[in-house]
Amino acid sequence: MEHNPVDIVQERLRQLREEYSQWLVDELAALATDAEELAGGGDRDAVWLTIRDRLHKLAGGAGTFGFVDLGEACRALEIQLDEALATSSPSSLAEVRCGVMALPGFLEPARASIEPAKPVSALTVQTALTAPDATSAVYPRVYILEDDEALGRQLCQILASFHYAATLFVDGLALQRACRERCPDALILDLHFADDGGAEGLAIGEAIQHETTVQLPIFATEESQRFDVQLRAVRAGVVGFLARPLDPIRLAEMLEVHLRGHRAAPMRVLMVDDDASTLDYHRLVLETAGFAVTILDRPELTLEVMESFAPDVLVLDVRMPQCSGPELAQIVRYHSRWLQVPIVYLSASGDARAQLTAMTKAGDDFMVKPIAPEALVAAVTARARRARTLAMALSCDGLTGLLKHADIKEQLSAALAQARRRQQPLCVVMLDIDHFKRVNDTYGHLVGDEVIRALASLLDRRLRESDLIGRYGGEEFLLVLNDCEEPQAVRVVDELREAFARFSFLAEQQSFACTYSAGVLQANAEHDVEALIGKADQRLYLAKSEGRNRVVAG
Amino acid sequence: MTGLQRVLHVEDDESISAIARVALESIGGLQVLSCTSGRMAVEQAAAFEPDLLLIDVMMPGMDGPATLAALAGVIDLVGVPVVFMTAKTQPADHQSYIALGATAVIVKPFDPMTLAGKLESIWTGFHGAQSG
Repeated sequence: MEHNPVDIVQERLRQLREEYSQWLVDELAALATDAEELAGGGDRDAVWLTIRDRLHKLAGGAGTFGFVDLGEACRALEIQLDEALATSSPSSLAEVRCGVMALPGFLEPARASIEPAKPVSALTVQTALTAPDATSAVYPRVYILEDDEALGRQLCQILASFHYAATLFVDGLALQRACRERCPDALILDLHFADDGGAEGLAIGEAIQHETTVQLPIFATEESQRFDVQLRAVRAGVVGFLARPLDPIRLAEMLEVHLRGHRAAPMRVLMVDDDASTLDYHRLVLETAGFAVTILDRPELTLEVMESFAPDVLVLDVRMPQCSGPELAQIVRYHSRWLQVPIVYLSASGDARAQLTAMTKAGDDFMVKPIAPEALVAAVTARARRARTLAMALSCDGLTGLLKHADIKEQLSAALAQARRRQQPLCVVMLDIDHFKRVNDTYGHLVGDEVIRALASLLDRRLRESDLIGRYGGEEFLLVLNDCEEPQAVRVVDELREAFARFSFLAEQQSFACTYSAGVLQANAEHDVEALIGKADQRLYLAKSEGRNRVVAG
Repeated sequence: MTGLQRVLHVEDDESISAIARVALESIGGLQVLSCTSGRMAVEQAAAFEPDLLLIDVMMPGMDGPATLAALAGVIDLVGVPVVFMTAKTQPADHQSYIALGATAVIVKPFDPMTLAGKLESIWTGFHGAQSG
């Protein structure tokens, strides 16, 4: 195939990234040498300033070349170093030095994912108490303002198990300063908070919002029935209220629902047009806006491509030599699976009659070329988002938001086919909450539902975007882990088992804990969907009979 | 008014300079003069006649604000928006750059795919605001 300009640009960008990564290896080694030099005598101030300049350069550059985590870590270290130099604090400087020495870890993604590189704290706030494993740069950052320190710590721990980097503050000014240094993804405020300076929770939230460029989602941990308080809360950007006594798991769920948008898979757009140059341009526009785009200049292959790409939106040229856009749309609509997918037409002419004909034949929107990039992005975004919401509502379980029984099986079948094509390993996990009937019988169904939702949130939050999670039965879940070998699957499911067992649920003034058992199986060449599920179920049964709260594999 | 065409980019980090060049020339179809120091920019700006200045803030020797001040002495900045590029993310810093005469601030790291589009909309916005 001939190279088009987009490919050439991409290739050039790839080369530059490659060169930069070579340079990075040397630069990080040089930084480590600088840091080692600090142990000896000599002019330490000069060395610190060199380190500071290097960190600054990396903070700006690394992300541009795709090393986002490294860039963020360098930025955090730069800020921390500035403060440490200003206060001449030896302990803070030592911390920065450790952070600098750990930077090469970011170049080894495999290692970094197992053991997050040396905690790099963005903060040196004296009153900040950080949960032990909650400082990784990749997790959403949540700041908590809470004067009940024990409760705050418990919150931090629960949020950490949901993979949030949570930091507790017991001082309003320290929180404000931390937000200024690094804006979190969400804020949890105790509305009844009052510190020694007399600042109350909501006022602190307002002050922080005032300083940020984008509105920060705030969760308030006190229900208030007063209209004026609620109005103030709305204006301060409070997106959720949570009653006391505080239920940390419920809070984690609210966070999850609110921040989910950040990690949703990119919307997929399939564009069919016989003009290759228009396609390239539109692809660039949509890819720039974060869409995953497939382009096709042969309409007759549309259904085939849709089968493998599963687009959220279809964009069709109206006039193509082999068949018109509306004709193609009708062919697509013959297939019940594609009745839902929105179709947007692009036409070179503004002919109103052609528009009307096109729309009555099957189609949702009509746009005239040349189209402004913003208009294209806006039209496609609106259609894609609605289509996804609709599809979710139709195929997802009402209680947990996970896939329903029939849908998880259907998706398992597709995943299995894909894994075989790509020659990748795939694991299936059957998972069941232990003694769930007892929970229902003792505390009632509502509490039982809470337990199911908590586990669903945990799975959804901790597994990868590429994994599939379904509610298979009442308290039974089916997981499909793509590109994953059995030992790795066992490790993941076992870690989640430990995290789940640590949750404490509240009912009738008592707290209780739950566990689960799981069977894990890696697919071989012979397995079909039913055999896979059956075998995984046998292993689950084995886990139950061996005493529950365990994971059984081959 | 013919649209944004010529960008004067001042940046001491060569890797950033190279990727910005691809982003602006190949993706954005713009003409770019890359200068590795404020001094070089001052020497070459008049001959290049830029439509927009893109200046890194933190550079050894002459930093971004100093470069801008020196450039104002050699070219006419009327109609030329000034964009500072910085790795600092604090709003207070951005405000101080605006006060120094910057039209906009672009934060590093930046996305090479969207950089040209950003500069174009800054340029369009600047001229819309000036004429309207």
